[in-house]
Amino acid sequence: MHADLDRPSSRPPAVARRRSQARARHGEQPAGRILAAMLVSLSLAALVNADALVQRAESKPLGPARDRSLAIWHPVQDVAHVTQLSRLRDLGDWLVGNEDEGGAGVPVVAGPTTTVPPEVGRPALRTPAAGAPLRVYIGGDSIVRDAGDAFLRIAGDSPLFDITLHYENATGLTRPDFFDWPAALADDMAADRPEVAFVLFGGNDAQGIIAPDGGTYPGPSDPGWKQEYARRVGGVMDALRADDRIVFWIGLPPMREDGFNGRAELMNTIFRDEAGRRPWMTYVDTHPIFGDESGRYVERKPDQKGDLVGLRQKDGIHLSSPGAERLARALLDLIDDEIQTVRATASTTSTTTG
Amino acid sequence: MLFPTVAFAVFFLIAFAVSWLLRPSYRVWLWVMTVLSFVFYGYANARFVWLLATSIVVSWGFGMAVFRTLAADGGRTPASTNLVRAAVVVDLGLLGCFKYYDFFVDSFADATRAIGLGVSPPLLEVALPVGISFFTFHAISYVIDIGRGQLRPLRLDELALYMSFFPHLVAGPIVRASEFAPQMQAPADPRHIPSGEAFRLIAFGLFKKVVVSSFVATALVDPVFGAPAAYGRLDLLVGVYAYAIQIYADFSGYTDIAIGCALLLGIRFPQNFNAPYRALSLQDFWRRWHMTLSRWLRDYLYIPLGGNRDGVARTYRNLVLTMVIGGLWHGAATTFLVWGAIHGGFLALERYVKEWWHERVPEPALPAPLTAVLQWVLTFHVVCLAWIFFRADSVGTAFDMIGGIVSGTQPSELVTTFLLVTIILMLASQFVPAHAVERAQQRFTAMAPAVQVGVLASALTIVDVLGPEGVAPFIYFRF
Repeated sequence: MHADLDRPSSRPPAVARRRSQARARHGEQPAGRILAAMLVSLSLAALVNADALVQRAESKPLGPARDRSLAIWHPVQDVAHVTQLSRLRDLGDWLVGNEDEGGAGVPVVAGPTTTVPPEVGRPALRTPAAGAPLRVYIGGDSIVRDAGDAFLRIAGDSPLFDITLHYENATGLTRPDFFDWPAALADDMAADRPEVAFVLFGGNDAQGIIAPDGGTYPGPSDPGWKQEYARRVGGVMDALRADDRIVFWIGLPPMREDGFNGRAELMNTIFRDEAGRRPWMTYVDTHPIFGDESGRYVERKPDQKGDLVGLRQKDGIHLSSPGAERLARALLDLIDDEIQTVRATASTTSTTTG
Repeated sequence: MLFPTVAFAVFFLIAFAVSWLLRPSYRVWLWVMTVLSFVFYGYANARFVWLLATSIVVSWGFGMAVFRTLAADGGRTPASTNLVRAAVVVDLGLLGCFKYYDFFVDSFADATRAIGLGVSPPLLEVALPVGISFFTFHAISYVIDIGRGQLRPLRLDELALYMSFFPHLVAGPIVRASEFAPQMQAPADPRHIPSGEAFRLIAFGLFKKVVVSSFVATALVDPVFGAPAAYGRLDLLVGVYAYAIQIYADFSGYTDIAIGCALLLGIRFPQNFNAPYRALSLQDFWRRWHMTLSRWLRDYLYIPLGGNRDGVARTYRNLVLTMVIGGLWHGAATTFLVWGAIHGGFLALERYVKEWWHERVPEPALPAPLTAVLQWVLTFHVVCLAWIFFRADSVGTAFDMIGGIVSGTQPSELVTTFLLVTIILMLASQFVPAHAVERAQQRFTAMAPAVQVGVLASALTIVDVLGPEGVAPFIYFRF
């Protein structure tokens, strides 16, 4: 029986030392020493990595869990800065080329609510050719990953399209401290100059948001939250505008869990309203693809042969391969419809003017 | 609770101290460690704690009933055999409800639609409870071992800790009651804890899971398996090798941490991985990969099916059946069935070719080292071929991968020198001799306490610096 962690020995020191050496030869240590080693090494590691731990705590959804984490890690961070131990982590990050994401702190996207210039019309999409493929961009969270992969599977080999897919798992527009989509989209638009952009956000956005005035709003049912989220959505839509670009904002599909579905519908209303105010934007309602006759969530729908096909993944949120393929085909149809409309308009114009 | 988190680090410190303080009071230790294990299980989502508790109580009831119906000499009786069967049916029924119900309902709905009836029973549509496969394996082996007269029933509190012990609870290794119970019941010596081995397992486990597995997954595996048509043959081929490394790093990393934590608590789990990618045959691979599952399948499936006792043809059939069922255990999907069939088929083929070869070519035709290299290359590539089906979301995607490897023409976009070096180093790590690892462990424990602390803190920092944001769930959590 061993009631104590590290029983004191009454044997002479030389004997005790020999036994300790013998234990070490067998790779063994007493529990008390192991506990001390674990405690001290974890504390040391916490101090060295305090900045990263604070960043991780800040990236949690707004709420008591985040507040508790920050209450623990901020004092640790203070000690780490006083003792300069956090510099060791900085050195490690510098050695491996990790980007400095520190100091993001409060998740806020500042800037005024954007307004649509009255003279802006809907850009005319050109007809792609083998030598001049249409530049297509697909971006957003992990739901767009499924659709984007399917789009690549269907049209990736086509000489008519030059496709860029950029997704970031667990991201959205509420937490730019975690991933700054407005900045990433600005970079992507400058680099790829897409003529058609499909974006989908919202899968991770049903969480607390902090407005530029410091107001904290807990979720989509809060009027302050809606106002701030609409401001961010409108800002992203304006940032995506270019003279030769059509942007499709893909709405969230119906979700299996009722509460989440309700929040998704609130966000869809914002997407639809904001897109409706901008001629270069089109809101894509995904309920006809993924919902039943009333637009409610369904797991499976019949395919062309009448066999039931699962459209969603097990989580009731993401799209299965067949579901993603349906959405991808719908997106291709949207491009085709847009081109047909432009052709018809051009034909009407030339008939009228000719 | 996930292992590579701050929450688990704090939890484990408490569990370690409490465990060694209470170990002298056996009953109290049992209860407290069981409660801690349930806290570990229900930490993120307490929805299925009842399921674990039910499985424990049902297994205990069946264990007692089976033991009472055994013959006086401990032999089987018809009643004990029937009770064992009933226990297996109940355990598999519970597993089947959660794991296969939706699959069977889907198939049933398709079948009725085909004959014009169009019956669509409601789907369960619930997430699979974490660890259900693993605690079901423990439950089944416990009752069968009692039925075979190899084990005496445990008390309810002992069984509760055996089945719920947090290091093995959610993703193994699969530990037999006959291995766990004697260690649990015997007094443990807090002066002789193999900390060198335990810390080495935990540190390397964290590195494999958090750094290597996450890196190869995001850099190559996820993109190429997501859209094979968009990538060239080099990306696809290296993507398959990278997946072989990812699943090994992920799963062996998890079990290394589990084994290391259990060692610190005074319980030695059986080894679960033994450098599987140095195997020279498929049979050798299965002696090194997920060893506790291989052992379980052998003892509770392959041997009851007849093993190699009923002639060559039956042996081949049993091999293929065991591997196909093992494949379907991972999930009700054609991809897993094909994975199992490839392994079963090649195991049977390998056995046949070996016997044929030895009969006709008694003397080695090639130098031994060359033979070994050829065997290694063949074995590794058969395993990789099977991994394609295991990882792909459908058989069609798997064939797209294979087609792309054979005939893809696009230039490589994703393969980098760093990725190749990572894959090669991980493969090379399989050939590190055991005595070198043992020497490193001994050196660690001989270090001064301050140096040990520095080494441990540095290891944690390196993992955190090199790892990605957040921690992806372990692949085997979903099985």
